[in-house]
Amino acid sequence: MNAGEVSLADLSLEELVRLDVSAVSRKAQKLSDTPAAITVLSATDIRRSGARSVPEALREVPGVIVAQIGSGRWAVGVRGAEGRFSNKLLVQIDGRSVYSPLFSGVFWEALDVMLADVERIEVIRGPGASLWGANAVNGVINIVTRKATATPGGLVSASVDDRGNPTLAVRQGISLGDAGAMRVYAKGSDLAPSRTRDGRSEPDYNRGWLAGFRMDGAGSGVDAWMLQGNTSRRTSGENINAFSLTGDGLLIPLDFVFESANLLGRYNWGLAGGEASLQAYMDHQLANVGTYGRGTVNTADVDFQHRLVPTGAHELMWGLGARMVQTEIIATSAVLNLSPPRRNFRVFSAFVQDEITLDPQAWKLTLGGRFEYSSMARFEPQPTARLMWTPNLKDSMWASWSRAARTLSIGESDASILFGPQQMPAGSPFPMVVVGSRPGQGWNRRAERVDTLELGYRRNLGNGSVEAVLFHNNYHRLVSEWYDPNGLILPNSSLPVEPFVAPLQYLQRGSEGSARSHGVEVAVDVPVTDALRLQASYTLMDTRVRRGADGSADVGGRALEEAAPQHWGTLRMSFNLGGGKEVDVAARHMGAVGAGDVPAYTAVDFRYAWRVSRYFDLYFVAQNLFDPLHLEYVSNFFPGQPVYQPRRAFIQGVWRF
Amino acid sequence: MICHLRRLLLLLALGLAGTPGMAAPPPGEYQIKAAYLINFARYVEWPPGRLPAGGPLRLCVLGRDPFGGGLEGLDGRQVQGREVRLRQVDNLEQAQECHLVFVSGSEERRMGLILRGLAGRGVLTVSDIEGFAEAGGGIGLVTEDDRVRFDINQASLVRDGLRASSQLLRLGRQVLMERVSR
Repeated sequence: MNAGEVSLADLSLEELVRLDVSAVSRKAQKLSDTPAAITVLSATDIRRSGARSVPEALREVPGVIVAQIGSGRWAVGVRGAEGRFSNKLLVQIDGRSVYSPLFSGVFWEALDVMLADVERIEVIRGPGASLWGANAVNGVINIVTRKATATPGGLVSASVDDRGNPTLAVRQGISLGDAGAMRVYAKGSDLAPSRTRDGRSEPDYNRGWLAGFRMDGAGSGVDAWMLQGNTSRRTSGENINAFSLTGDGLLIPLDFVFESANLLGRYNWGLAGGEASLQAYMDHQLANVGTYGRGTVNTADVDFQHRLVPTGAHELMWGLGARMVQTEIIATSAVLNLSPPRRNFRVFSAFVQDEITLDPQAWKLTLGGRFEYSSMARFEPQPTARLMWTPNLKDSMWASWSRAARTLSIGESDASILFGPQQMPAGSPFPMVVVGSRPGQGWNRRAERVDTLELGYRRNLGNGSVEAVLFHNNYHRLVSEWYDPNGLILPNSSLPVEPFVAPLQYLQRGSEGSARSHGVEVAVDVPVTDALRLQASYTLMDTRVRRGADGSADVGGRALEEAAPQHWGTLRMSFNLGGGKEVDVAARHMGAVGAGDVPAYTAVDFRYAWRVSRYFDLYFVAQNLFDPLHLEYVSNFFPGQPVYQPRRAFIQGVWRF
Repeated sequence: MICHLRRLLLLLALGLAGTPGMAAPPPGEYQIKAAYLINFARYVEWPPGRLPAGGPLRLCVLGRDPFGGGLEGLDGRQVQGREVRLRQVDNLEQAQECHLVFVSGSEERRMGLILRGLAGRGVLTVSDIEGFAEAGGGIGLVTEDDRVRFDINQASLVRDGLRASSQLLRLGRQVLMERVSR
């Protein structure tokens, strides 16, 4: 060995700066301290996934199911509760909830972000309610954007796909001198349509724009402030499956317009030796559904958090929050009827969490709870207890019990919906009935509840990691529907929609469903050679309905049972070819989904990236390489026309200056 | 003899004791980061009241040690005529006694609290937590294009009476400057 290799510590700074690293360690290190099933996608992970939207980037997270159900439309679920509105999953962007109280879920088709300025996406599986509040039943997704001080320059990202659908994103950083920094950005896109079963027609579209800014205080002190705002507009269209009274299938085109605007500010400062943060935001969302109606949600939210100085074995954190929500749904057709059409409600919440070190470096116990009072729902305490054991630097094990609640959406609570005519089985007195859904009489409208047990293991392999989590969910009071025992309502002059002349059969809504699910999630991340990294994830799970005595109560549970595949897995190979060239090959296999009879499928994606210069990156991405056409999911909320995903490719250039 | 042994141990710890003639594998991320720590100790000047001439320089790791033994070789090393004393610390009170504190990624959730607790105490904070320097830390290690670089928050250093050499400032990927009155 020569003297130059003797000790890195003897190298000078100049030499260190120029030294290549053999393998970069992953996030596992800091996560090894967290007693929860967390996956953090870094900016690099997001870039290498070839994702152009948040759901695409989530495809490789264990326990998360992502299915494309249209142009820019996604069904995303965690631990099984998949759906067009993944109502058991809370999604936040920089602390602002994008979970809509109208339909209990996220309008993914309306959600656009500047992916290039996303610092990380945190995915917390399992209840996160004790910290983040209601609706974090099966998981929480936190999208965190970079500070404006970290994006001082300009960026132009342009891409075009094989059918000519363009996306253009522009960002410019502006220095505010002593005050800090700011960036402004704008993005426009016309997303690729899906295909029909025959692969020829394109039944949907999704286009729109997004513009916004973020300002951050100068990073010289520990006190920090941030202000951001953005506004967006997207239009999208799809076809809804319906039947005419003669039993023929009909496709009814439905056009959506989504508009949003929001403003959020946050301040962090030292308080009583600890650290406090105060955040406030205002949010306006509008969804216009063709000639059928429109929904508006206005939200004002204030949130305070305080992390105290650790005293002895205790590390305490507490917070208070208040949220005011104003919703309005104006139904302009008889298909939908809201009673009442307007709601004003307030949610006050408090949370406390104590991290207790039982044995330094080995045992930690976290106790926490969130207490929410909502003017629309009953008081639901959401507690958690987590025990973590870290016997050495490499291994950590944890176990947890948590309880979380999902508050009912405005739609579930207040809407009467006519689904339209449905064919009845042979021998029925009427060949066709019109089916509708409405709140059951005397329904007490309590929140859905889940109790979750988790057991996790993590091993840090230095440059890689292995993780496994076992979970068991016990759901109570699931919203379910069953046929009105009063039977058919015979046609008379008051029937709402012409030319319906069939009898009307209502489904009653109530909180009668219950179900259990359990499963295992495994994730492996290993560097095989200096140039190749292998990442794999696999999830196996089973959801079972608890059958009621009269058979009426299991409808809601059954919906959950059939809503997701029972197993799925992903495998990614990331090659560093040197000279700034990268190749990524990712394969995923999704099991069959009961709802909508979606068969299992396997898809392979390919990505090639070339850092042409310091200022210019070039990407080429091909998706569904070996599969001309597949179905991923059938939209379960609106009976949308099943849409198929073809082979796709796009080329993207990113300029930095 | 002791010195020789130490050298040997260091080599083993660094995993560089490859067979002669074979190209040594490139060093791992944390081996490079360990080397940075010793260099920061070399190129930063502490106020004399905080670090008397000839006194030992306490280099501490706060949180779970990610170096996997890679720091042990630094213990007892001489830097600018001082002996480096390595210490693993678990809480802020202990960390306040150190001169250079490496804040482990395991402490990311407490980063703000730690920076507040160490501010104004003449402690050089170093970490590879993302956005560390911007959040008010002293030096943030950043892995970029397979190289380890560093960002310096000059304002934090000045506040703590620490003086970074011009060489350090020149090689930093980003130097967050002191607020200049205009």
